[in-house]
Amino acid sequence: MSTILKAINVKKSYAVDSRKQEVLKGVDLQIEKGDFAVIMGSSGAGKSTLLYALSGMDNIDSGKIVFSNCNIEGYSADKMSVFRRKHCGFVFQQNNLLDNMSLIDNVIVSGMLCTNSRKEILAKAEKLFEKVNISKEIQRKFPSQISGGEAQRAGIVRAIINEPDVVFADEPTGSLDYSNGQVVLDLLTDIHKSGQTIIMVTHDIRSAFRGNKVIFVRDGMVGGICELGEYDEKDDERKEKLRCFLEERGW
Amino acid sequence: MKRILLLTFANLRRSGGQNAFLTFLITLITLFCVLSLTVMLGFMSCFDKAAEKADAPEIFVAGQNELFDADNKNILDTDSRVERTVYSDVLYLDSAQITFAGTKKSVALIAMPLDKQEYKSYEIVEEMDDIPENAIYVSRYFKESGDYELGERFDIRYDKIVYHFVIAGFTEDIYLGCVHSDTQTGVVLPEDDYVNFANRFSSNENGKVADIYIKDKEQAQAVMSDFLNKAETGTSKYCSMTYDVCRNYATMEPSIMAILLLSFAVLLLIIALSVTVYIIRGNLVREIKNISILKSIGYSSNSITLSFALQYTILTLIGAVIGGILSFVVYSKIAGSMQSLTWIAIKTAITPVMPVYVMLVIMSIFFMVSYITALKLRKVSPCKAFNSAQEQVNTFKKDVMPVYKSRLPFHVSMAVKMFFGSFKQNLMMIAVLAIISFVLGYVAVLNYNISVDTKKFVDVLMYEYADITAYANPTNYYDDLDAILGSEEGADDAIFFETLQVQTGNVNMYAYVTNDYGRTRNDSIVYEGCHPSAENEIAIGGKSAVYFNKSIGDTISLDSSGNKCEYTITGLIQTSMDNGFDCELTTDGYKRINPGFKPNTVLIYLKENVDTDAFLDTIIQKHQSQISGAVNTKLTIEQSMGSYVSLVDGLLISFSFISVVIIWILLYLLIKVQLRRNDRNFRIQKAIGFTSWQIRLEVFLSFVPVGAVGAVIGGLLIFLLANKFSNTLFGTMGIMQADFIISYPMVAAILVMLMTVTFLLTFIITDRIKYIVPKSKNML
Repeated sequence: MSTILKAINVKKSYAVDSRKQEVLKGVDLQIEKGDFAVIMGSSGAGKSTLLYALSGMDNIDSGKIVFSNCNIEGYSADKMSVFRRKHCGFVFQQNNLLDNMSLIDNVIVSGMLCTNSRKEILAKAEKLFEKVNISKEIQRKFPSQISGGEAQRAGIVRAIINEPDVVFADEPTGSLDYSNGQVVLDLLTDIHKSGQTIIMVTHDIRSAFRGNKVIFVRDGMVGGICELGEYDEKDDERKEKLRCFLEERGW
Repeated sequence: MKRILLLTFANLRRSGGQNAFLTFLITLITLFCVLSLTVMLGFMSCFDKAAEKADAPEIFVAGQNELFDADNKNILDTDSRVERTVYSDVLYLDSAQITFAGTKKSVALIAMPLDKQEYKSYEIVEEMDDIPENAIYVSRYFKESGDYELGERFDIRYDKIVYHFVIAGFTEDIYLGCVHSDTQTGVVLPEDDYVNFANRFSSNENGKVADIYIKDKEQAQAVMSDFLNKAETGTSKYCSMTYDVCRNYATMEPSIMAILLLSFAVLLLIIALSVTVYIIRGNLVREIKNISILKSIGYSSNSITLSFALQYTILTLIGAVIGGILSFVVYSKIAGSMQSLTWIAIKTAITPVMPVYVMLVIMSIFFMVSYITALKLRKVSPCKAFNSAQEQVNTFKKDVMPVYKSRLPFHVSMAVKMFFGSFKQNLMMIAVLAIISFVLGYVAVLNYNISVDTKKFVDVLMYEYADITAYANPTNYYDDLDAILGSEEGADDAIFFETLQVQTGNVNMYAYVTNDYGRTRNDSIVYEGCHPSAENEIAIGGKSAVYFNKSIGDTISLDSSGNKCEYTITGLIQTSMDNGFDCELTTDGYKRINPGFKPNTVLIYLKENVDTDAFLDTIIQKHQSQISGAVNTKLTIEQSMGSYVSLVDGLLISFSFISVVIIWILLYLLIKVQLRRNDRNFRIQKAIGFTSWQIRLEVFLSFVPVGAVGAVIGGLLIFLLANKFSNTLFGTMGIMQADFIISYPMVAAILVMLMTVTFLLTFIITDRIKYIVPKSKNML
């Protein structure tokens, strides 16, 4: 497996009430192609900050991020946008679909950034929608007219339409009920099985269990990495290993 | 209340730019309202005070002695409505010529001795220390607008002789201070000079001024009409005026200025209210999450609505207070210019009551509009407080121009989506832009008609006028003087045209009399129907038609010299003369009520490129036995309007400048509000890989129809409503149907300029998009 994303001594701080608060204090990590890496940690540990730093969504103060052999930390905002459209897909906690467009348009709009063939991207989108079990009728609805689970599945379709190198997911089941959350996790597991690299932030141990690698973040640093191997629902040993890993870190 | 104020001040702390802009607009509205109302009401009340101080009568009649013989005096003495009549001996020089602001004017000149007559309506306001020989006191209007100073030479030309005087002082004279053509003007001479002057004339020029004091002021017009009706006037010349007419005449030009100011304030108010509605709607979207949270913790819809309304009421209060204070400063600067337009030193000041009154009215309007607009928040459910804000507001139902079906280029499709995504807001913005275009266009139309191509403006303000006005010599009268003068080389045509007084019922009216209206040149006079052509026909002023409840086809009876005849109304006319109380008759028609009438005034129209002054000199030389005088009318009009036009010009240029500043700020705010509304979508777009430039392009393209449609609608409004708006503006003066020139190239240039400004501003403001970062706590 080749390395697709590498963070070297990444630091990031925010100014809160004129006081500098260091959120990432020198993070080093490496994500291999095909990984389903799960970032866990307590609230305020810096999980989401790390996710957005890795995806180029947020600037870092110092360090280095090498993404698909590109050193992205010095990119301008627009260059970063162009980079994101080709290499990154995002699934957010809230669906974050464009509210003035139907589900199909939300996906097309993202797809059209990488190709000029509307026909080609439409066919691809419809295929993906079919895969996530969203009917044509629902595809033509606005985000405000559908359920949270449907919106999140549409978000996943949008994230993978351009066949990105990495899909970044920030607590994708955070705003869903259990059954809808399971559907979303199943989808992510499926696309991972097809070779997609995924980096997901979660609080939920059941979600974390889907990954093959769990990165524990504590006080702005990587507090340990647990290699779980490929997901198998019935593999109790994996579950135990993850439980012990987290318990050792005070979870 | 404390709770509501807490919310109000929390709202005020946000949106600083919007608040500042609205405060600025309200400041201007208050300023213009206070200034215009002060001029409109203050000038009139100040004129009243001056008249009261001078003990001016309700009716003023001046004329040759024949008018005031014992029988005629008896009419007044026996009229129970008359309290007393005071007679003063004067010299009455009909059609005397004087020079005013470099131009010759023909006036009824009334000369009287200083301190030796009963006439009380004047007061000396400035005087030389040493009174020179041949001293004369003239109206202060000669100083303010006529370019005269103390000690300067003052010439009176009468019956071909020029009499030289030196200005020893200036007077304020209620009835005789006016120096317009064809009106009476008074001068006062020291007793010895007066006697010397009077000795040079025959008894014909001896006359009187009758100050008629009546018991009920409302009866002034009726008493004057009755007197002139019953009096045997014979061939004597006279002039008469009620106090109300005199006051209206004196304050007409400042009133027009005030009306312009007030109309601009009204237009600004419409813009301010539209912007307020637009901003509140935008804020409701932006603040909807906070609103639902407030509801969920127990605030009532009414409290939150009130907090919104109070926010704008407080802004109005601040703006109105600043505007009120500014009005005192500005008024002190412009009062002088305004006062130069009338002949009484108007020493009026802004009363504190006026700004307070204006402030209360504006505050009430803003409170109501903002409260009604904010009522929409009643629909926000508190249980949705914790959902995504956008989900609560943007309930799109119809997918207009779906991107997946569109054949348009990708970014154009996105722009179309964006346009329809904020369709209601864009409609509102189009409306605001249309109003702005109209305001700017209307100011330009007025400016064009008052300063560039003035014909239409003069046409609606004046009655028939030609290049030259000549006066027949009554002692060597030629019935065909019009034909004689019209056949001169350089003359295009000449007609007898007289302005006389007639009565209908108790109301005095000006009557314009000529043989053939087909030869008159002012096409703006008749706005409905046609000129009279037969002796039993009449066209009457639109305002008098309303007053008498008459329309075309009805009959109206006129009195003059004791004769009374019926006329059929053929048309409605409009002039600012006598506030719209006037009529047109044919010469034969007028002779029905005054059989001995002989027209005296000849209007001479010149061919193009004929030197008016040279022509004037020629006819004065060549026809000196047939005419008693002639004046360059167009020059007279031009010069008498000079100070007024330059003042209006200045005012309109200020309006244009203010409009442009407002447009910049307004567009900035409107576009900013739009960007804020779409902030979440922009963040999402950036997150999925849109560059700032791409989003900027889409926003720009989505504003193209807004800017273009707004400007085009504004342009249409100019063509459809500019003259209607003028009718409302000038209707009080008797102008019922203004037909100002609307220059197509000028309006097109304004619209193109406005569109360019809109697009340029959109392009500049959308640069802010580059500062929108995809990562946001709200979004993620």
